[in-house]
Amino acid sequence: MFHGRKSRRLSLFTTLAFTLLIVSCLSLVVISSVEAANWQPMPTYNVLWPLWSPALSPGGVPLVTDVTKNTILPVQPGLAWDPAQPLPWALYNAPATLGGGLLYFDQIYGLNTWPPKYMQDPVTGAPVPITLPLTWTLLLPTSLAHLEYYIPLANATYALTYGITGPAFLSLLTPAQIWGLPPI
Amino acid sequence: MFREKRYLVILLFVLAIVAVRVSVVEAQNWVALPPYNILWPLWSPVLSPPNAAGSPTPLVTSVTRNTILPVQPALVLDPTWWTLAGPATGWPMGEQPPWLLYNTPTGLVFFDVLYGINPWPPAKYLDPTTGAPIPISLLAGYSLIDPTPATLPTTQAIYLFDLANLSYLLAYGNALGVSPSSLLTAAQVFGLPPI
Repeated sequence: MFHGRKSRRLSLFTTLAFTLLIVSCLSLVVISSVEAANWQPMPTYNVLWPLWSPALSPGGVPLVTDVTKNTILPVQPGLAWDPAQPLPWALYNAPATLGGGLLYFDQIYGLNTWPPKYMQDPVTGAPVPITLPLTWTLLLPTSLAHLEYYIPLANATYALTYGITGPAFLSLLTPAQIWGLPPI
Repeated sequence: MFREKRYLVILLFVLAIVAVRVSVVEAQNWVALPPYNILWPLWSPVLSPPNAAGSPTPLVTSVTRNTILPVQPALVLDPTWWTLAGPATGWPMGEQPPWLLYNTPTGLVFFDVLYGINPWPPAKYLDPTTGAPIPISLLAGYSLIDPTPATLPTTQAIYLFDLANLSYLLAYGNALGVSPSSLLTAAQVFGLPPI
């Protein structure tokens, strides 16, 4: 009788210990994945900003606090990603002389004013934030192979559209700068 | 009699090997130009037109900051990334796309798809202290790297030329009055017949 109670207590203790161990492991995994997040959702549309880019997130802190049509980028292009899309969009400032505002380059749709239509309520125009997948913290940085032709094309399209030439054109970030590669 | 036949077979075999070697030497696709040993394409008729003897001859004798290109862009290749195993994907001449060179009033500039337009040469070709040239160490067989000129340039090659020419015009060319139509296309550099 006494022996049986002791054994039950031991088994309860073992179960509790195992449960605690599993919970701790799970929380460790979650914490480490949150710590290692490569992207940060930005208001108003919940698009992801690249924490992995030293030029766009120096010290792991995004250069901007939101991505709205009035956001002014201190360097360009910025990158904003809806994970439902194959690639992040390159973001640019429209020249202030033309009223300013944010622009985004899509490889199929070209250069357009931010945000994409599907992020706005068609009637009220109110923001419709995107729904991020549960695993958004595990999303990897955009590969260099995907950026290497896309960014030069986006830069050239933006520059041609707005007559940006000379040093202003050369100041646009290259794929190497976005990725933080060492000098050539 | 039998022995003579054997000698004849051996002789023919040796002659065949010599013939193959000669044709390989004749098929040299690249030449290393001073002072950085950068590879210049002998396979491009517009960048290496034939001389009086019919041999392809580079339009320039060196590729320095002060070199002036008679036509642009010129295409050069750093073969460091190329392996004897041959190209795996992408570029016909190897994993790393070539650079495209352009003239500016302050010297030659080069377009790299990752790094954009920068003054020639890349910093890695210069001694950080003295600024003296550090030539590329060329592997045996570098001159045989396949440009695949007989086939169409890859999509990457076409994009590279379009992006490089556009970037050069935006950065320098428009201000210098360079006509976009004066810049060589991928088809011209690869020596394709007119469309």
